Amino acid sequence: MDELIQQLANGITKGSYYALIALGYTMVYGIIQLINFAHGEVFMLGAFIGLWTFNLGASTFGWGAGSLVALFLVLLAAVLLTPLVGLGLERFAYRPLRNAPRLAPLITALGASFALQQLVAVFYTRGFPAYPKLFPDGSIMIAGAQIKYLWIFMVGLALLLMLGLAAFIRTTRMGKAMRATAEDRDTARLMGINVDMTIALTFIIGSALAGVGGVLAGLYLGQVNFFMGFIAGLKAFTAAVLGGIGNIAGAVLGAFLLGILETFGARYLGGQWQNVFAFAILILVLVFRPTGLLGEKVGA
Amino acid sequence: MTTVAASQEASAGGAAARIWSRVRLPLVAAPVGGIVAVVGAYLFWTLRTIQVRGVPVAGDLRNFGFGGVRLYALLLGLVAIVHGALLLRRPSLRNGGQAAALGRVGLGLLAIPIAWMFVLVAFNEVPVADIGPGAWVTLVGGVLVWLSARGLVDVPAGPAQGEWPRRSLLVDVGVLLVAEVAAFLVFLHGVEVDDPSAFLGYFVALVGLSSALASLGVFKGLAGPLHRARLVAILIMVALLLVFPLTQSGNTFWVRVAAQAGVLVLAALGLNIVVGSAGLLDLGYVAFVAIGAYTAALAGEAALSSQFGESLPHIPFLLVLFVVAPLVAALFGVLLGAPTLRLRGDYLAIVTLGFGEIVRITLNNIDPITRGPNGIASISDPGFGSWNMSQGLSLGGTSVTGTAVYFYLCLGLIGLVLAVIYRMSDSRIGRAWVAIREDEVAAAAMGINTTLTKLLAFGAGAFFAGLAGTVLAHLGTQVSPDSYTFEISVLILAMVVLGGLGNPPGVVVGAIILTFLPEKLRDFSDIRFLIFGIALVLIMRFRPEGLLPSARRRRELHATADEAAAESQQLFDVRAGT
Repeated sequence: MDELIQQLANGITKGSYYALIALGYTMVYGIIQLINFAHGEVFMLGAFIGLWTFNLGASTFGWGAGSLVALFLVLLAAVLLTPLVGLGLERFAYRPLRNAPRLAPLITALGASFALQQLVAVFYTRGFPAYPKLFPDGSIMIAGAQIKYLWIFMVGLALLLMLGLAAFIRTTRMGKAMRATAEDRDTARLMGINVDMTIALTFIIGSALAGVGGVLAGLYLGQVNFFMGFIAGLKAFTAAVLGGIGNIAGAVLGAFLLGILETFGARYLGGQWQNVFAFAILILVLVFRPTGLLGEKVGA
Repeated sequence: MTTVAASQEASAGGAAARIWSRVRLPLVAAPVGGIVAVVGAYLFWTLRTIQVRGVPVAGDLRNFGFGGVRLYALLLGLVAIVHGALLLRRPSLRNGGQAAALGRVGLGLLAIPIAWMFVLVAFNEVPVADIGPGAWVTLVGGVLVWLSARGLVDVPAGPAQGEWPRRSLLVDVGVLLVAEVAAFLVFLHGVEVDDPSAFLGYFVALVGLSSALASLGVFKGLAGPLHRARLVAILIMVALLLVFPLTQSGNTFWVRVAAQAGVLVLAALGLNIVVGSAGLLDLGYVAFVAIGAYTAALAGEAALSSQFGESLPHIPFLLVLFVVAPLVAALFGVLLGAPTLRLRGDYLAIVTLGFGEIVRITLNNIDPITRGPNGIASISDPGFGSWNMSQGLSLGGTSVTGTAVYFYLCLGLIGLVLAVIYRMSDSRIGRAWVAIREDEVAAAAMGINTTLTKLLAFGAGAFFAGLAGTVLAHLGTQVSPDSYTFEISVLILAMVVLGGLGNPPGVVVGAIILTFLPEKLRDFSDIRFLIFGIALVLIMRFRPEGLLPSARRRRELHATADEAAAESQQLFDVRAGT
């Protein structure tokens, strides 16, 4: 029983950063029906931006482990800088192809994903740099399972951001514009909505969330790698599909569910099958319930 | 309306002629730039010996002469001089096509020293101050030639480019012979250039000159003879390819690369059916190659007997090659496709991606059969009777190595696969694939069973992948899971996209380029995948139809541009009329 709860906690924690990536996937898919393969790379860059910010801070201000100021600034840097990547992708790779045959932007997304990965690999490192332990160590026992404070922080932050995003989309004018654009781009334009800007905004928000996810994943895993975005992105996409693509609550639900299923799968089938398990879930969901658990929603 | 347009055109031509007669400067700049570039090529390009991994390369760039990368600058410089002089002397030649060609030559000329300097400064940490005057002078010459072409923008557009008309069969055959032998010699020279910086020069010059020829309409013109004397063209090409291993004088390295290129051509042709013809994006295609390779490895006599003892029956190589491995791969293709092909295109992409990873991880994990990460080594050497492929062949006085035999095997298979693909694409199935790619709903409405047809495309693609995998397993004599990563799937996709989605000859060219280029640029193997990624983005952005597009796709992708041009033309007419 303790074991079960421990695995559950692990799975939920993993799910929290999957959720942050899945939100960006689902928003972009909802608004322009594009699988943004490069989104996983934005997540990876978020983690690396966090790492670089910390290294900079450590050498100039002497930041050390467990510094909450450093954690805040690292997260801030990721939130501010990753949207530039997403924006650049949208502006230079996807926007020119918005009316091209559907295969074209997909291949572009793939190429961009590759290029971003390799940029980090070539110009920074192919290794596995250790991530600073910015969050205070320590844990709490809940029902016989050891829960780290970091895990609570991650899940809390992910849920908070998701609620904020949902509120933004539901209540603000810009959120309304996003919903309208997702529903019908041409009509939205006729209604005076700046469609290009709205799509760019979607990329900005999605990238910022993925950036936070990257930092959290770095804290959780303890190391980062240029390749981390590929698998994580694939899993986040699985989560988005699992929950119903275009559906924000669905993405988060799917992410937590996937995290839990994957952790249990790894526990009982052996760790080397963990990724096979996740992809098998993806294929099964697509085959048997392609609309996902909560159903697809085009209007974000 | 038409008369107005015609007079407009005439007066535009007249204005251009006046500009031409008045402004001589751009005309003079081209030959002068060419001379400057040649002088630059003769001067020394660097002050010190450059070493790559301890081996001095391009050392001859320190003296006066035309060694190393400078050879290509000399070549382009001479072309610029001759072309520039011709334009200066012959006003009748001055048109848009010629100006564009001159511009490409100039761009190539200025790109050679720039690329060379970039390699020196970025990869070999040579300070900019150590770059000699020759490189800078050549750069200036190239810029002059390019500016000269830019100055000629107001010239009338070139004559309409089309296929060269029929004169006689003999002329066609002669043209084809010259073109193919020239292409072959250029290729051979590229294989011979060892020094990476010199190869870069070769490559830049090749791109510059061939795009210059393209803007003169040479490639479009060649389509005429190629179409009329297809069989002769194929025979010449086969003869040249058969000779290729003999030109390598016993050195098997490039023959091996050529054999690998052959394998990748097979795989890319298979992927082309899936992506190019049927429009289904498969991102885990390498999984089928892996399945074919592992099947071949397990079915190969040596592997099987060492795995399970001598009791198992031996499966002959030809049976494995043509039946067992491709069918097993096709079976997996159908197994994956059957439940997933109903999905939207972009879902399919991600499912195939997941499948590719599943296959790789599974091969890694099921130790008892696949021997895990170590893979299966020492795969049998196929042969007939007492002869094995790796022994090579000898006929009369000439003999070729075993690697060359694999190269020939690939050639034969490519021929076979191409024949099958062409028969297929003209058949009911082939047309159904195109219909589905264009509009799935309309295709279904026309009575095409879309799921079955897509499944056929998937199965056929996997079948050819299995074929490629078999050859790959025997060529490399071992298989291991890490040879079949996502990167290789993307590499094969890049071959298809670069060459021209849906056009088999284009795919062949794309696969050859993307196999040889990385081997030639081994010094930059670190950034190989970075370049692939950027190239994919740029190709989709600027030339989505690839190097050799199929006629249909070129029309599709440029339909909007043509319409826009027609529209602006109309506006122009209206304005002229008022």
